[in-house]
Amino acid sequence: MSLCTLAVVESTGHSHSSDVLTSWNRFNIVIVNIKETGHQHNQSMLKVHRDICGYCGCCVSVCPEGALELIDAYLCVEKWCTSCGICAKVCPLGALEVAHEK
Amino acid sequence: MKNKYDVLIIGGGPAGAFAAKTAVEKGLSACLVEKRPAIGAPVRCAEGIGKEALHEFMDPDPKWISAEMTGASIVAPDGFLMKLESGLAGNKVGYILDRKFFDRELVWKAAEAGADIAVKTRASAPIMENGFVKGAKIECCGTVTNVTADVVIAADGVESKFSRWCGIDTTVPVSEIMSSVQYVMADIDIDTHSTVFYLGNEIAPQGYLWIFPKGERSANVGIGISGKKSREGHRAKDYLDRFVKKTFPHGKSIECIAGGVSVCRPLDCTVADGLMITGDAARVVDPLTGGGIYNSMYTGRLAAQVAAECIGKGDVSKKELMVYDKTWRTSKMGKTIERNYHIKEYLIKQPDEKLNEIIHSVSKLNLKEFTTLSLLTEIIRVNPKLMLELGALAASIR
Repeated sequence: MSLCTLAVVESTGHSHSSDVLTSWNRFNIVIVNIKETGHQHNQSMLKVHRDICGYCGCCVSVCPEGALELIDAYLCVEKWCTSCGICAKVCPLGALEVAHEK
Repeated sequence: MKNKYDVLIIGGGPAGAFAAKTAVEKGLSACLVEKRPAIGAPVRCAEGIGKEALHEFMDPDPKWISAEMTGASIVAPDGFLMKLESGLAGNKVGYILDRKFFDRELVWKAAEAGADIAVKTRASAPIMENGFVKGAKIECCGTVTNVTADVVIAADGVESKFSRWCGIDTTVPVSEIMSSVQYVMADIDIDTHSTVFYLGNEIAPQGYLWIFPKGERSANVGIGISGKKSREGHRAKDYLDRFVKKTFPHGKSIECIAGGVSVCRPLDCTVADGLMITGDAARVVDPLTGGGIYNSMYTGRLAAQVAAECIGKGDVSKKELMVYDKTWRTSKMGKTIERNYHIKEYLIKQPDEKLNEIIHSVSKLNLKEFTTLSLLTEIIRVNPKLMLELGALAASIR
């Protein structure tokens, strides 16, 4: 069984626009998947190392969930990211990381 | 920007620019939106284009030609160099563009022809009505505007988000994305009039590394490796840095750009009700070379031509717009993509020894026609046993 919860990690200070059909965010909202294994919670989330990211969009094109979007030089991670790690694998610079937390 | 256009174009690269220019030339109203603050920068491209290919669209202008090519070299995994020269000595075979200026010129021409242009402006969602794409939500500096259009042309590059929002799966398989990095390097020893391609699983697994001269002692030095082979410690940048350190230890990088190039088959269908998909967004990049400038200009122009006909008839349904899809698929470009897809599939399966063998078989070639096809024809001619291995593919090459 898996639950999802949102974590607002960082804000860019822009106002949030709510009237768009496809929801996206200007906050660096990352999905946290909580897989319940007995009493232990294994969480994983996609981390964008913004100091490394070359905002090239390579990750966007391979994301099976359509959960990444590049807004000029800023990579947005949508709340429905499943932390599958495909983007982290193909990134030419190594700017993406699926962080596992226990 | 107005609230209604005949055609709305998403993306200001070569596909979008040609679509916008062609649309207004056909008497339509058109608006091109580009999410980045500037047209043409940063350009995620090695900037090479064949001479004939460019001439089909415009005459070369020194303003946006960085260098003229008269030959090419292919370096085998073992370091052996195969030189390709044009049948006619000194004959130009291709150009290395300066896309910062090239892209700007294309958009400028579209603007001059009458298209509206909006930069730092992005489409954030399609406007859908009864399954038809009717326009897009357009965001600029925090303001959202509904812009309706009879036809939306998606030219949003490798990311190809707009079509995805319209319900078309544009995901590139991991094994078919070329994870890429390129440096613009200065102060390096190069042959100013020849491109160089390095092959081999040690140097660029399931891809290649390129040196495309930008002028005297300057070049685009880049690499594309298969997404399948990319991993921590073995990323495109790791491979490129290793090569640069060894080959150009005193060179200086004045630009570092990452990118993704799709080498999959084109989308199964590049139209929907009220929507046409062009260029990299349609995955019409040449799967063997990774080249996409010509294909983008071609599909951008064609999309606008077909859009004009359909708008004139008052029917922009998928059925009518299919003329675009069918036309490019049966065109020389469409057939080349299909053929080169198979060749790429064959080549990526070959071990380095086999690549060495093939490249050693032809040390110097004078090609009458400087095309991938004539190169392959020559290689097969001197390696008759390749015929058997290539099977049906060999027949399509001959």
